[in-house]
Amino acid sequence: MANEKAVYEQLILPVETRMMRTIWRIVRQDQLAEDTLQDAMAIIWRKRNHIQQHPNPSALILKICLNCAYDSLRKRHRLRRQQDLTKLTASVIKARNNASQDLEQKQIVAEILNAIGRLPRKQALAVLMRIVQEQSYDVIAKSIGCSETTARIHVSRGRKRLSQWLVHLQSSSSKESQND
Amino acid sequence: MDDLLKQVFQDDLPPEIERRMKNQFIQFKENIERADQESDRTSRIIWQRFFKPISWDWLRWVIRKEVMAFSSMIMIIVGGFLHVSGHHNAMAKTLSFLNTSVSISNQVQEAKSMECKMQVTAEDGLHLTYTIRWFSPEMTRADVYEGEIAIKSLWVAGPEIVVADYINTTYHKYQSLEQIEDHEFMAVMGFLSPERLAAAIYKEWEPRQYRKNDQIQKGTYVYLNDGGKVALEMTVDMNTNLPVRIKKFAFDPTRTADAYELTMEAQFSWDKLNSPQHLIPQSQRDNLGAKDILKIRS
Repeated sequence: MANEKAVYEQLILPVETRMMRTIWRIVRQDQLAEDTLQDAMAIIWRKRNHIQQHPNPSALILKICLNCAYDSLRKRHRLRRQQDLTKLTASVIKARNNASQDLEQKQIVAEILNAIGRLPRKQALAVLMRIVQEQSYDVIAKSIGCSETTARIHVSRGRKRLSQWLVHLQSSSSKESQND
Repeated sequence: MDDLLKQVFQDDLPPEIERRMKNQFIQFKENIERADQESDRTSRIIWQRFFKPISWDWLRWVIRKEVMAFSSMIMIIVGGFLHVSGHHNAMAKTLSFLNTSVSISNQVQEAKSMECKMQVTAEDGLHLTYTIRWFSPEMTRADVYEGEIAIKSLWVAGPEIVVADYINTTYHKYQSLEQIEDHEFMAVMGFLSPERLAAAIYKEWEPRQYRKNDQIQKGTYVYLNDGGKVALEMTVDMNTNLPVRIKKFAFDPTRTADAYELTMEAQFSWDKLNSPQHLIPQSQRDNLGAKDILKIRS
């Protein structure tokens, strides 16, 4: 039974750093990132036999991490929505009174995270793997379990939706870059 | 869009959080190693205890002809002694009572409707009277009376539970029976649905004595408390196996040591069609107001 340790060393050890960074890049909240990592490890360990047989175990592990991060984003979005409903007026007034650049930046980040959380799971994963992790379409396809063409479609549709939802942010960021 | 996303999802894991996450990996690895060691140890113990040849020595001794013959003789003698002395009755009685409990419980569980009139002696000496009606397994109405006056009503209709207080002219909705705060209903919680009463009969009440009355086709099961005193009596219709009367007794500490008083008596009528007027009309259920519900007072 000592091979459990060997399984860990074979599967998880080489990608520990990438797992942490992948989760952090998406979740961006300390406690939530730790919880997400724990969830991801539990899933990876439960599916370790399946992962071992996968043609690209590291990509599958990172996909599980992204999946858990996506779930955390949606969870965070739900919690935020509940709070907003109960304290809607107060938070709006406070935000308007303290409209500093820092707060604006935080709002942009929150808006993008929410938009990613609104995407269908496969589109969100494909976009994150392509843009954040810079994975090839071949790897994305193998991780999600679809053909390379379908992976391209997921990325393209995800990008398109994000562009539609976040069009106001794109224009403001391009203005900023022009000013710089 | 890609630049914006890359900017937001930039690779900037703070060192403090990285350290904490690394600790998670270390803990996870330690747990795996511990589980490995425990698993090895358990396997070793199981092997040592059961599969080592020395463990089977006793079996070799047991299956010797002389030992088996002697054991058989002893068992025949003990069996004969139990048969003659009548001790077998205790076992048979227990099995019979268990069978009865299951049978009564099943009948209660399957009952379509029921009306129960119950009189309860409260701790302050006052008497409360209850009328409990089951319309179906998930629809119940319970009314509490002080003398002739109805003071409270409880409706259970699936997930909806409503309590109306006629004295204070208030009503409350609850999500579960456990949330109800009106103490008047605490005494009758076990009678509010076929499932609850069936569970009490099967799981909590263990009959110890049985008195049969062939003339009226009824039998009474007696349940004792830990002190060996009569705590409850349930009279059952022998044809239907449904309870027709339940009496509960409690110790009165203000009197002599053996003073057990009747604290509750319930009379049951089974499968009696209850009029739907006793239920809250469906149309009013969603928008109940105190005035509406008080109109429903029977």
